[in-house]
Amino acid sequence: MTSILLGLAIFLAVLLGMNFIRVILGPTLFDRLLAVGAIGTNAVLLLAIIGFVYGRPDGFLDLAITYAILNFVGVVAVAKFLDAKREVDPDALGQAAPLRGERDQ
Amino acid sequence: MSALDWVSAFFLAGGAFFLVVSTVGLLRLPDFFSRSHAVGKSETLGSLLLLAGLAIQNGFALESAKLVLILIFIAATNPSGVHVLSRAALRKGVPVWIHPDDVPEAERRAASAAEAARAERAAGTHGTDGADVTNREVAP
Repeated sequence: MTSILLGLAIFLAVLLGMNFIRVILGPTLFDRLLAVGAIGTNAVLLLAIIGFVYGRPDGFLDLAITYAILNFVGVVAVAKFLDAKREVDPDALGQAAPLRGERDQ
Repeated sequence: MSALDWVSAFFLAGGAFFLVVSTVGLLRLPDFFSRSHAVGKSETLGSLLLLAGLAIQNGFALESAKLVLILIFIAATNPSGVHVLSRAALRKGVPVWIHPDDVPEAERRAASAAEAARAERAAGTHGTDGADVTNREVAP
């Protein structure tokens, strides 16, 4: 079972890396934040699995709980900050997602 | 492998599947709001299945209790975090993608919404957030 879990951990790490593509590309600031939140959730799962792979899940699960809490607080704090701020830099909002869709152009 | 192992493997495979769905959705969907839909639901379900699979594999122990704790926490916080982010994005006027087939209908609806907002402003009251957002997106 450990080898299955190890494979799953590698798989999750690959998914986590793929989420970074959205952080780098993301046309708007909110896309980047969303992808960062997804990466945080993936990291929690990765920590839990790595704990079982290493055979001492106790400490790793504590780390995972802490990471989940910090991830949530971080995302909500930044979202509330952006919500309350009077002006967001228009470049960060970006018009990159076109109204008329992709097929139209 | 015992029966419990098979159940656990089933949960782990389901969790991996939904995490893949979430990542593909995050990368492929056209705008912020549809991406937040992918992360808010698919990622949550995948996490829950994966953690449940780990807890079943581990059996009845303290680690399983911690896993259930993480499971409950993620089930509560992941969708609400995405919701808070989406609300902030809507208020800041992130552009909304509209399917090309629906563009004339959407433009008509937005034009009438803008008309209503203008009338409201002329009457001396402030438009709501929603009206402002619609107004901004539809300007050609």
